[in-house]
Amino acid sequence: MPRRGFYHLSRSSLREKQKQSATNFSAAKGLGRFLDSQAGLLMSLPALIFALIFIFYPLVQMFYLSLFRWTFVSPTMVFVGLENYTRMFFNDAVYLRSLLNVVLLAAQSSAIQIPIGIAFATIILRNRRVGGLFWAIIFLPYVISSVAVSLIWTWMYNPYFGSVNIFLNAVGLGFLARPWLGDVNTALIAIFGTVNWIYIGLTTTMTIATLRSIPPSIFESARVDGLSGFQEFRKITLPLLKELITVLVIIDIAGAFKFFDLIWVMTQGGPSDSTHVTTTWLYRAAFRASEPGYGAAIGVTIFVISFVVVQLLIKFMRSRLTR
Amino acid sequence: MSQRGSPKFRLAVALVLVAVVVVAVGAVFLLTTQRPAEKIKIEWWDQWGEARLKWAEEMEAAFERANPNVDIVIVEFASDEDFKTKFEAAIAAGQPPAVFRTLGGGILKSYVDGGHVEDLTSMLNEEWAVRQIPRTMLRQSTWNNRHYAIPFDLWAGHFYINRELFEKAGVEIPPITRTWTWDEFKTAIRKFKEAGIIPIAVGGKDKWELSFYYMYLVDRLAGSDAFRKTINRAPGFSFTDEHWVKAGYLFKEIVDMGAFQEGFIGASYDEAQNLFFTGKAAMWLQGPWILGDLYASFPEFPVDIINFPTVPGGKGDPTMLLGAVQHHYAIAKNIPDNVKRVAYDFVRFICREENIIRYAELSASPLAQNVKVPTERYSPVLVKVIESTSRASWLQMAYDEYSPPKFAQVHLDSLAGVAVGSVTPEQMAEAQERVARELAAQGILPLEQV
Repeated sequence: MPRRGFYHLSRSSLREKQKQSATNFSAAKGLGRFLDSQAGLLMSLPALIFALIFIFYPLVQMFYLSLFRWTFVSPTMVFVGLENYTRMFFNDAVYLRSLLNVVLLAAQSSAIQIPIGIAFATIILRNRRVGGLFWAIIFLPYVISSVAVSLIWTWMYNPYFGSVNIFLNAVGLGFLARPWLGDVNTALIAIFGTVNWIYIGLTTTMTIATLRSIPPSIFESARVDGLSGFQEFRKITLPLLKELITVLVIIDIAGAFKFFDLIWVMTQGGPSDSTHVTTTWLYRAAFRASEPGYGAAIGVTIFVISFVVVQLLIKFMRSRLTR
Repeated sequence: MSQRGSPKFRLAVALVLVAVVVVAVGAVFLLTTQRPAEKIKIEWWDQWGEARLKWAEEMEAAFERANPNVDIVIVEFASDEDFKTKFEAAIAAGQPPAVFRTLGGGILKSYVDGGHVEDLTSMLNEEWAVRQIPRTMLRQSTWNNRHYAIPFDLWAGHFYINRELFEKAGVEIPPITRTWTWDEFKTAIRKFKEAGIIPIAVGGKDKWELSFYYMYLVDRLAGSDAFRKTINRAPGFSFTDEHWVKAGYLFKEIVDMGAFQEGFIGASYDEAQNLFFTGKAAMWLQGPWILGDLYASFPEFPVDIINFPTVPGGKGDPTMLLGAVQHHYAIAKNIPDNVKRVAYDFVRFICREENIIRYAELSASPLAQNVKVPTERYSPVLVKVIESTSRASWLQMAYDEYSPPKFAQVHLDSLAGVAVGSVTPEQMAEAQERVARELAAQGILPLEQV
């Protein structure tokens, strides 16, 4: 920590000098010295003010709001203490279901997108000629606005006009054809399908970037040593991708907490509240049922849970990456 | 060291550049903000839709021509929900739009209770308004004998049908002046299914379409008093009363028969519309707003309207219709006096007889005001809707618009649960009663004395 020590030294020496020159103190010089000594604080001030206004203040305000019953337009706010919280955990099955859905979303994203992404990346890198085209195609969904994607897939899942069922019927899997978004048992799976369709391209791209940064000499020497393709993948590629996989898992978990638009457009949390995630349930409570207090309470729990999860993840990542 | 690189020179250049930028920005600012005089700005908020937006633009142009110092700003919203969210944010920020659309009912009541809506009683007692605006049309916007909005048009819920598909399946079309029975209705559903036609299209994702069935069934079973008395907590009325449960079971009965398209619970309004417009579904329970889009895409569509069936042992008057005053305009209370004065004038202006006729013509909707519209300006089906509405014993406003938002959500969510079988009609009835009690304890219910 030499730098910090130096900083302290310079600050204290400055203070010494200030004392010495107290007799011929002039306003301009004093201001200049003050600016010099507090440069770090001053330079981060704009960002700090921004964070205070747009992050800390709303957080405090949200917690405050979560203790009240209010309807946006009613003249009075009724203080109800922790009632909104007890209701959430003991009297609101949909909220608990929405938490479970967030966990499911994060888990399936990691379990499906990462292996497929790595597989695609390996295929693309081995077949340079057609690989580029394939890469472009699977990356395309990620570039399209998610609301557009949601609308497209809503129509694709339509039991009467949708291409999903038409395709299943055409290849002899007609028994699988069903109203995907209109069935409590399949709506969530259908949404997961769309999510994976969007993000596999991103996972693939990140894997390709990582694999390309590995010196080719490593693979060459592996081949010289007589490793088969699969052995090479298991013994060399996979260990080198460890860091990337950790990062991707974190992205998936963080992404699951802020997921909203796709579900809201495709199902609005239905049928029968089976596809709600915490954010859609918050929106419905605050803006549809006009209970901003209850919505704020849900927001507070999202904040606390994601804060804890992110802390754990950062700790985990540090311990893994510095090893 | 050369002159150019010296710190002083660089500082001078920097200062000159800064000065140039400041002067340029200042000049542009002055030029663009220089206006002859400050105009009075009237924001006019609505979820317009194409046809009504055209009317609004005509009104804007005409009013601004007559009042050059006024700037009417039309603000459009994509959906009801969008409107509600932004409107409430604007109120909370203390900057409400001067003139805004409302559907009346529980939502308007909550704004009135919050002190955000101008009392229009004196304007509604002006000579033109007494003549032109029937007092019965003020029901959704009147509390304690004070009126808060000007009604414009009506909607009524009918089964819109495809005559060709009825012929194809061999189902006789019940005339609009007669109501068919529940058995006839179920027979028709069976015949359509045998003919490979979807009997009824419904957009279950938005839930309010499902609510149409429940509301009709409750009224057919128990009469038009049932809902108003029960929601307003009249003694002796409860949502757990038998007819509330029975309505759920009758709804469930047609769901289980397969009356609706496959996956209807996840289908949007657009998907249901698509099934009906493309001739895949025979019926669609809707309001007259579908006609504009229908004629725009399929001018020759064999469309007609029929009534909702009666139910065995039902006490309700079969001429009753689901429906209400739809669009009203109201004025915000907390705006500057000079803006408010212009807002009043503007509302009087758009209520002029010729402007109302133009509204009816463009929006293709039945009017809530006493203004005679030449019938040739309406399509034949719309004329039928208007005639049927004028015969109605009662117009039942949609529950989710009449009730406080929280009740509306419980009603809609649990009905969707009944449709997929995750909630029983008994549980739905209990959930509605529970939230009604809760809202009564908070003083939100009753909305009116009944």
